[in-house]
Amino acid sequence: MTNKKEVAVVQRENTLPMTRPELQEDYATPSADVYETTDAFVIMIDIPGAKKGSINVSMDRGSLVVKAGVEPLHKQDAKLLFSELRGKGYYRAFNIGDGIDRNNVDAQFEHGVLTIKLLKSEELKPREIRIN
Amino acid sequence: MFSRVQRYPINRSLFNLEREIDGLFGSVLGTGRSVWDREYPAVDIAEYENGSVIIAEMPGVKKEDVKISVQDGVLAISGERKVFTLAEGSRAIRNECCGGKFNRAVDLPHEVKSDAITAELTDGVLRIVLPKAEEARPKEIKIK
Repeated sequence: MTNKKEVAVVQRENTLPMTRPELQEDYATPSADVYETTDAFVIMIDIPGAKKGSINVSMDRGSLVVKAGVEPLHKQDAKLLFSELRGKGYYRAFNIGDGIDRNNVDAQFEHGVLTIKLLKSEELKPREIRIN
Repeated sequence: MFSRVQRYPINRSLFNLEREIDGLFGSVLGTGRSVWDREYPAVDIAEYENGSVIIAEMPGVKKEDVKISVQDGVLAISGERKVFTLAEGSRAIRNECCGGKFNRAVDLPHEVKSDAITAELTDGVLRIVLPKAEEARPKEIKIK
């Protein structure tokens, strides 16, 4: 049996009731890794080309939303010979369960990867119980 | 490319399953090629009057882990996104980002001044500027 409190940052954004369809057209959905460590949940999102100032991470009731803008890949006079890149901004939302310390969220951006660390609140941390 | 976390049998087998299912569709549709075999890194090639620019996305890759070489009209990009092992007591909930070694070759769109090629890697985006060799530049011919 899984503990209900444990369910946290697991679900894809399209399962969220608050997903805004108009956003999905203009934004690409970046890949993400989510890890649970003993004291935190760590989300790592690949957002290559995003600029630090354009990254917006917000937390609202049960969700964490990441938005990031990118600069155009090519100059105006470019003749595209081959194109696989999307050149769009990024948008992704995660469901966040209880048990996260909302005042203790840390985000870092390095090498095109955004790392968000959500510390667990005290009641979610593993605790050892001493036998008297 | 494989999972970024080493020794995680559950994820690995899931990945294999995805591959197998995909391979199935690939063979049904007769494409012979699955989405999971997509070449990495993804690139854009743009041509300008005096040269061209190749842009490749490789998030999580450090400058010192990428190698670029040009030979016989082919530009090769190789490198590695370092994989890591989860600390004890940790688990992966979602694993979509890829890691491992990669290698990609791109045909140069024109003759290139090979000693003037420059490259920079910022925020996970590699940008290679290839100036055209004299012979490849557009030339205006005056009418006598």
